[in-house]
Amino acid sequence: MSKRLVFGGLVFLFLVFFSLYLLVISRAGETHTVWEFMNPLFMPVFLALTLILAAMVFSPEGVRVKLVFVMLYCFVSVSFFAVVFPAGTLGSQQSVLGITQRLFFDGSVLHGWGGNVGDVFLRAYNWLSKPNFQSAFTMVFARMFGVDVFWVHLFLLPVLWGVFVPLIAFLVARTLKLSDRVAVLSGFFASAFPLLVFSGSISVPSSLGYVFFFGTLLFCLRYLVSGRSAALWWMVVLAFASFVSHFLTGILSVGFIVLVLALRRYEREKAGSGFVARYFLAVSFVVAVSLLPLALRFLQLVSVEFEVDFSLSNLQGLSVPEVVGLFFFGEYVNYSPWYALINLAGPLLGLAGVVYALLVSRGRDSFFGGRGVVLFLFLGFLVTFVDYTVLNMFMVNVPFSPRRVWVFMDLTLLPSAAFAVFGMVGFAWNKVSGVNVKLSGFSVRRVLSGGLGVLMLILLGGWIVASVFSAYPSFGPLQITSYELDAVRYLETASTGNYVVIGDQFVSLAGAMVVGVANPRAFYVSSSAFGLELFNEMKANPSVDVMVVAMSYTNASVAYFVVDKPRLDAGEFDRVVSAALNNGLQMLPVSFGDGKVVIFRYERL
Amino acid sequence: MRDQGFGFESLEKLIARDSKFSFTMVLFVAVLVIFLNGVLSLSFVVGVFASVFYFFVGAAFLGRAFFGDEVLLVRFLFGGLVLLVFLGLVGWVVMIVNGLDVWMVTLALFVVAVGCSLSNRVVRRRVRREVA
Repeated sequence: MSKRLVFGGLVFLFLVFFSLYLLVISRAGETHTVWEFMNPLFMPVFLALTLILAAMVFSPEGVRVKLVFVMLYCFVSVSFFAVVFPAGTLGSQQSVLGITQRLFFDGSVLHGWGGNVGDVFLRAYNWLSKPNFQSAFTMVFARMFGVDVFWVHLFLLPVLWGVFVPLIAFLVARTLKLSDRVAVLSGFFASAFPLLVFSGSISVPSSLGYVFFFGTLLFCLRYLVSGRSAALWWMVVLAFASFVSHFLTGILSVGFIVLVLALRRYEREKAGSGFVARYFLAVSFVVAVSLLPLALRFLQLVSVEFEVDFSLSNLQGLSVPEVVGLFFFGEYVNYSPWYALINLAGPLLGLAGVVYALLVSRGRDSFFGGRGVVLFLFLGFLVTFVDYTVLNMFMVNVPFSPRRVWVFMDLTLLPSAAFAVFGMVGFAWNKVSGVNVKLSGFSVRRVLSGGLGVLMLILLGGWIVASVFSAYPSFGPLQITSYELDAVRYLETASTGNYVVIGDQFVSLAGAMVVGVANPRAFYVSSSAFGLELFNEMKANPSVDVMVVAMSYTNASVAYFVVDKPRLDAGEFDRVVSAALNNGLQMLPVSFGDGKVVIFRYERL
Repeated sequence: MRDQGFGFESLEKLIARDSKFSFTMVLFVAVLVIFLNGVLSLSFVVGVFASVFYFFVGAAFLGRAFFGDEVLLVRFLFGGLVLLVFLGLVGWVVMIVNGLDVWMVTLALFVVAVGCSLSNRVVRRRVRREVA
């Protein structure tokens, strides 16, 4: 390793730790977005970090070290939510934490989440569809490390994503016989797709499934290139892990396996009966495409929660140009041009790379891993694109945002995006190298190549920083605050027997993150419909009678009523508190967040 | 990609050789320490130490067994990925059967440890037979 690389590496490591430190000190107790209280030094430091890594990626030496640096960089870029917010981002990842806490908390829930229902099929469906697999991961690690489930859950995906997504991107590029520099750039590009950064930053089952899907994609490519049974075996194992993580990622993993098996057969048979081989490939493609929409359509056979159906109602009222825009650019057509460009730049570059490789690889088996590999990537892209379009335009009541399917497209096109960028840089470099003019003793070639290097770094670094920036929303609701968490932790430590808590849904969510969802020993009533009614009654007229009704649900001996100022307006908060005091409720002597959360207590004698 | 090693390669070889089951024993001791730490609630430092040993030895076993053609870093990280997948799947099955308390987590860790050691031995023996 040259001294320049060692020096660059030391500066890079310093900046990684400095940026993590800046993230930690940006941690806020009451915030809406990660940017609201972000230290002003963070973005300049992060930009410097990106520029140094971009410069190192293009140097020809120290591949292993650069790969480790790319992983560290990816970890930093996906850890904003976990570090800055008091309890990660509001939403499904907190619900998953609530379920994990419930499974972990006192060992009262055996057989997984939803594993105690009578119907055997529904039980099996729950084991596969609920976040049981991710919960098992979190619980095993929490017991291993002796660390609270809360922290393990928050950092599970950022760590796994930061390590394995760049690694797999690197290995996919190497399987495509791309150079080491393109392979490292491919790993670096894991931070250049905003949707990938966002997916890696939230600990939800689908994000875990994406990691295993990407592993499946790698072994699909390896199987296609080598035909070794070991690759086939790992492909199936990772697809199964992806399936038990989340059915969406599992089904698309199976779709990719169908494609790869069909392509192997096509490669074997195309020399003999070309028509039959092509026909079989076409049928397999249709099967791979149909798996996800049909699985969603027939979900209602096992669960009444879903009413997914095919429909044209999404297109009603749209003009022809709007339908065309929706078809080609998906929901990004409704976003601001800047946001759409940042999100679409990576996939479009990747698609350009695949199409170029498809055109050039005809008859050249060594190019881009061979014709079959290029065809696989192109068909894989088509499968995800068609599935996304069907879900987005022709299906209703899909139980997740169709945008999640876009992540598969990003992952599939990631290495070819690196290939396209490297190709463009190489093309420009060759043009500049061809200039052989001297002006007043100055070599124009040196000036141009220096300028090109700087321009390339600025463009690449700027693009990646802009992608990370746009991955994290710039506006949002008030996140779970640190004092809401403090309040529910206090209730847990201060209570000896069963208790119920009447509070808004945010207090319930905070409670679930500490004691688990629907825990009969520490029951937060707003996690259910009747509980919300009780909360509204308490808000209108706080009284012991309502608290007694709440206690009857779990036969608890103590009831708490939590009043949360930021969730009500200030006037309403004061009114509810004074009404509770007037009605004789006993207020606890402690408050949280400088009086923003107060708690009333009633104990059955 | 050139493999520079930094001495890790020889350490990894030593682990994978597992003479007289010495590193299998290290895995089992790590499981025991994790169990005691869970039961006695000693300290997270103890847990992190034991877990790092567990992951290091387990990843070395599996990396050598299944990804012997790769360079050290990739081999080791892929061994880690496979270890995670096995740990997740075994943990998931154990959780479905009987929850995941300290005893059940210990059982899952033990099963995976035995799997790592066996995979390493079986694959190494097969490679030796093929070479012979």
